[in-house]
Order: sequence, then structure tokens, then C-alpha cells
Amino acid sequence: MPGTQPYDVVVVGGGITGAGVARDAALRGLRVLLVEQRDLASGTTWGSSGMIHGGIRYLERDWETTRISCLDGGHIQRIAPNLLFPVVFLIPILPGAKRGMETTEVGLEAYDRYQPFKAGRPHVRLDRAAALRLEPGLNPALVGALSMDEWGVDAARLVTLNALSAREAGAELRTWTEVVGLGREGGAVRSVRLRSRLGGGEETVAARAVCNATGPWASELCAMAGVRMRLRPAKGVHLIYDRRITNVALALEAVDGRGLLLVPHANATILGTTDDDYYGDPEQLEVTEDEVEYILQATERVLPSIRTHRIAHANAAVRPTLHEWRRYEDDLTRDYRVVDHRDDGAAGLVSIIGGKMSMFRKMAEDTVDVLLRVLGRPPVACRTHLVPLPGGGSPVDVPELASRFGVPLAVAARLALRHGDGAETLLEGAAAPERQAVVCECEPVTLAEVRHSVRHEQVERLEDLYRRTRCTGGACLGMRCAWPAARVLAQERGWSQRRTEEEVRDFLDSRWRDRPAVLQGAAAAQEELYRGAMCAMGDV
Amino acid sequence: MSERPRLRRAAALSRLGALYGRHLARRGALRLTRHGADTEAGLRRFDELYGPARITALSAGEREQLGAHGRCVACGLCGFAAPRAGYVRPERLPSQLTRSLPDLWVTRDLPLDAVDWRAAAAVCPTGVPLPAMRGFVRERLAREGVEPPVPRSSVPLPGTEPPTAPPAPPPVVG
Ligand SMILES: Cc1cc2nc3c(=O)[nH]c(=O)nc-3n(C[C@H](O)[C@H](O)[C@H](O)COP(=O)(O)OP(=O)(O)OC[C@H]3O[C@@H](n4cnc5c(N)ncnc54)[C@H](O)[C@@H]3O)c2cc1C
Ligand code: SF4
Repeated sequence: MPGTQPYDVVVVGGGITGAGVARDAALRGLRVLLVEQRDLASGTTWGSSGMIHGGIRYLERDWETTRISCLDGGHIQRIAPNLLFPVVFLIPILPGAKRGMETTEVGLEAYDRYQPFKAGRPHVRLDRAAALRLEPGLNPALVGALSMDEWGVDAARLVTLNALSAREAGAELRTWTEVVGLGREGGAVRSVRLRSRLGGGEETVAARAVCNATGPWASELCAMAGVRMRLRPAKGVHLIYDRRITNVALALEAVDGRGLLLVPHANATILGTTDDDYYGDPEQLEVTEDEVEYILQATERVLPSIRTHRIAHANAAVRPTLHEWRRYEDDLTRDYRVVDHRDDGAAGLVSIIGGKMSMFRKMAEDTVDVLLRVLGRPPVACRTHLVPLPGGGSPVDVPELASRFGVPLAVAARLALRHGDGAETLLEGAAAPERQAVVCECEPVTLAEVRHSVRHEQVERLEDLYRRTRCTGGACLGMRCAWPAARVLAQERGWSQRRTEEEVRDFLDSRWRDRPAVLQGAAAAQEELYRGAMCAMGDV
Repeated sequence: MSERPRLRRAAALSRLGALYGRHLARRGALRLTRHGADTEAGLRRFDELYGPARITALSAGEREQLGAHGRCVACGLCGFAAPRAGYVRPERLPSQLTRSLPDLWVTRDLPLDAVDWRAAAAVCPTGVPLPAMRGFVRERLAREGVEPPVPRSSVPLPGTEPPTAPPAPPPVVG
């Protein structure tokens, strides 16, 4: 390591928290390295419900937190307008519900005060007839419903754009690189040991500070510096449908009184979640049939036809909740905590624990404030709410984009969602036939977008491409498009035929891992047959 | 719990309590002055807020049909049974173009009526009702005021009948 210039901060964890911290720190002039053991957004963030919500539930604890949360939702909406879309909820009230029509409406009346901060709309009260006219599939026993809205977001894309913005501001990104050790000198963390998960090589880099943004892995990273921190991780399972099965989102209540959500999200539906203590490896999560049944039973009470919809797949994630909130009483209201581990004998190590995606920008701001103090730097104003994320600069006229570049509206609309005003540059830079060639039919994703992503968006593996573009995210689960997408990667990276085959096999296996719990009916047999045929043919 | 969070919580609950009192008084007054006007007023308000984002009512027929749309496993067989029309390969209707209800407008320039949906549906192993799906798109776009695609031929093509599901109720908001 002699002679190498130390990083001001090595941010460990490329989820929304780490990517947000890396961006903020780089924009404030720090020399930053962001390290992620797998792909960006492959941890808890990938398994979230994908919503930027304003924290209505905080109204029972602290209205100020709701205000801050809504303000921050507004900031996110302004820096990434292309990435967010409205999610309109109906809260159906069934007879005997824990919260009736009036109590629920009072909560929404309070929330209405803060909705304008994030361009949200006031609630609407709907009687039984109106609710059934909006969504005829609702349980006809309902007494009425209330509406409210939040924002949906492509969570993986939000992480990517934060990481790319950090890179533009000078940060270095390393994905598929695991932190395997922290080096201490005289009670302070001074270096970080890295191991590549692709090549296996190891290296040590010097750091003035280390930010632990590893979500549910936070205790393990702390342990590398001899610090004990206990989490109380909770597993959450979602069922994913390959299309919007409703036009409105629904707030549901499970048999045990827990709240669940059905969210029409981009061109899919996310239904969940469970919430159970989990002390296993967050990288080895499985979905069980019991969990699927729990979610379906809860949904059935409100939307009796739910079982007629085919579940495409399921996913699971672990909430990184701090075990002993009582040690940090002030944070009870905020759900997150920035911990400077100086008093634990590990000066230079700062952990950011808990929280939610909706508040990532504020969490990053608070964390970088602490990092600047730890580094002994003078305060620098945070700018993450002022500088748009890549693509978020100006609105896109989708029909104009489509006609100028001769692409179908369906293609232009998805490009505009993911790339915002960057869609134009992407199309300009692409060869004309690649603009139209569709690689992933379901999304749709073109060859031009795949190539752009592989070249510019930190894509190392096929699964990274899934998170960047949703390529392979539709009904075929990658059966049709994994090969063509892998071929682009192989071309760009110089992979051998064998390496490419292994990549496709690994990827398809991972896409099918959670299938057994959700396979039902005749479609199951058909899909198995199809999968067998595809695997046997290798490449079609 | 230390004093501060406890105080904040007490303050939050008392503010909600005060709102509750005011809310009940207002509801009581409303009940005396309005009779049965709630259904239309609620729907109108909802449509004012969310109509521009195309988050609008589903008809009973559409609700019934939606489950069948998701049966498509993107096997592509229908694409062998019926020729494509421009961008519209038969399998693109279920697996791509109809996934998001508020985004059906992206089909507005496509020659959807130039595909033989009946022939395509005949080979579908999971029974996706392709002709009815085409009708689903036509009806929703008409209700949303999106211009229908320009017909390529004046002779109606097979498989383009309206959906077999019950007719849609009148639009929610005029
Ligand atoms: C089911 C569920 C639904 C949710 N829904 C929402 C929602 O709708 N809205 C919302 O605002 N919040 C939601 N949340 C909360 C939100 O998802 C999380 O708070 C947030 O995603 C956590 O992000 P993170 O970056 O802290 O953690 P993660 O996303 O887990 O990122 C941590 C990263 O650190 C990496 N890492 C770990 N150890 C190492 C190491 N040694 N070296 C290198 N890298 C390492 C991991 O691979 C991982 O990618 C939900 C949570 C769950 C579980
Ligand atoms: S044949 Fe049926 S399942 Fe296969 S792509 Fe066509 S509609 Fe989908």
C-alpha cells in the first residue's frame, strides 16, 4: 500500500443507502470508493416494495418526521422525475376493520397537509358504490374506501443513478468486490481488505474513514473492526405478477392484523409483504409455500379473485432493523441511526443503520455530515436535493422521441422512464438497426439500450443487466432473452462461448429459484416443459 | 422511553384526537345536508385527480378478463400461427403491450386490427383470449379519449370482434 493515496471514505454496500452516501460524499468533494460484494442494489433494496412514501404511519408518533419524510420524497421526485410514477391507493374498509372509515379518514386529513411537499394529492372519500365502480373486484361487503397516493420507483435504477452520479463527481465504483477485512492502527480503522468475487484477487486500500452501509450485513462488517452491533433482521416476501392486475393499489390487512400492500408497479404488480424475524444468511433467502399462502389469504379478503392471477415469481429481502433502539431513543421516530464507532474503539468507522429507501437522501446527508466531522473537515453544504440525477434534468416528450428516432412508442416510453433526458443521447449514439432490435420482448428492451448499459452502467454480469434495464423481467423469466443479452455482454467483454453458457445457466437457475413456491395450475407444466426445451436447445 | 419521544408521541396523538372531533362534527353536518350525492362526487373527484395519469375505473367485464391476460407465458407459439403486422407480433400484445393499464396508449399507432387474433389464440397452450384482449385495448383507449389506430384495411379482419365479456358500464365520469 505504500505510496497509494488513501481514500477519504470507503463506502461499503451498494444498496440505496451506500449509493446515496457515495453520491453525497463525492458531491461534497471527498475522495470516495464505493464497494459492493455483488451488484448494485442486489441486497434489501432489490426486494423492497419500490415505493417512495411519505411516512403516514409516523403520524401516530411524530408529525415532524412525516413532514421531513414528505419533504424528502419531494426532493427525490424533483431530482429523478423520470423514474417516479404515481401509485394511487384505495384503502378499502371492511366491516369490523381495526380502523374504520372515520378513523382512517382522520389520518388522511392529517397526511393531506404534507402531501403537497411531494406533489401528492388530497385523499378522496368513496362510498361503497363508488369504490366498487372503481374496482369491481373488491369484496362487495366493504363499507367504503379512501384514496391516497404515493410514488413508485424503480429501486434498482435509483441506486444505479446515484452510483453513476457519484462516479461523475469523481467516486470510484467496484462491484462484485467484497470487503473481507478492516485494518486498524491504534484504535482507528485505516485500511480495507477487498476480494474480487469475479477473479478472486485480493487487495488492500488505505482509507481515512469507512462507512458501513451494508444494511442487514452491518453486524458482520462491524465485527471486522472488533465492534459488536446487534440487528434484529426481519424477512419480507413479495409475490410478483408480470403485469398490473389492478389499476389502483390496495391496502390490505392480514389475519394477524398486519398491513399488506398490493402495488401496481411499472408494468408489474408487487404484493406483500410478510415480516418475520430472520437470523440466517441474507444472501440465501428462500420463499416458502406458507409465506405465499399467508399473502394470498390476506389479499383474498379484499380482492376475492386474486388466485385467478398467475404469480410470475416471488422474492425476499431482509429489513435491517436495529436490535436495541432503546439505546438510541431519539431515533425511535426516524427509524435510522448514524453511529460513529469512535467510542467502540474503532475511530473512522461510521455505520448507517435502518431507515427506508424513501428517506435515503436525508440519511445520506446526515451520514456525510458525521463523516466530515470524523475526517476533521469543515462543514460543506449538501447539494443532493439540488443536482438532478443523470437523466432527471428535463422532461421527455415520448411521442417526439419515438418519431425522431423511428422507434415504437412502447420502446420510447420505457427508455424515457429509465434514462430520462439521457434517452436521446443513448439513441443518438446507437447504430440505427440496434435502436429497433428488441432483445427483451416483455419490457421491451432494445439492443441499443443493452449495449449502452453494458458500456456505461457498471454491468459485469447478466443479472446486473436485469437490474439496470429489467431485461428478462417479464413473463418469459429470461428464457427468450437471456441468450441474446448474454451475447452482447460476451461481445463487449470478450467472453468465451463457455463463459457465456455458464453465465446464462447461472442466471436462469437464479431466476427460477423462487418458482416452486408459486407455480400453480396448468401453466406450471407448460412452463417446465418450455424451460426443459430451452435448456436442451441451449441457444435458439 | 425518554421524555422527548414520549412527549412527541403524546403531542401527535392529541393532535389526531382534536382532528377526530372536528372531523365527526363536519361529517354530521354533511349528512344532514347531502343525501346520496357521495357516489358521483367521490368518483368525479377521483377522476379529476388521477384521470390525467390514466388511473381510472375498471369495468366489471375488464376485471373479469384481466386474470386471463396473465396466463401468457411468452412461449411465442402464437407468433408462428399468425403473421405479424408491423411492430405487432401476436405475442407482443399479451407479453408486452398490455402489461400496464395506464400505458395502453403506446399502442395507439399500431396496426392491431391487422393481426389474425383468432388464429393466434387457437394455438395458445394456456388459453390467452387474444381477440378479447384486442377488444379490451380498443375499449379502454376509446374511454380514455386516445385516438384509435388508423385502420389499414376497410375490410374487417377475422379475430377482431369486441370482447366476449359483458359490456362495460357507462364511463365513470362524463
Ligand atoms: C420487503 C421489504 C419492502 C420494503 N419496501 C420499502 C418501500 O416500499 N419503500 C421504502 O422506502 N423502503 C422499503 N423497505 C426498506 C428499504 O428497502 C431498506 O431500508 C433499504 O433498501 C435498505 O437499503 P440498504 O442500502 O441499507 O441495504 P441493502 O440494499 O441491503 O444494501 C446493502 C449492500 O451491502 C452489500 N454488502 C454487505 N456486506 C458487504 C461486504 N462485506 N462487502 C461489500 N458489500 C457488502 C450487500 O451486498 C448489499 O447490496 C422495504 C424493506 C423490505 C425488506
Ligand atoms: S401462445 Fe399464448 S402463452 Fe404463448 S406467447 Fe402467445 S399468448 Fe402467450
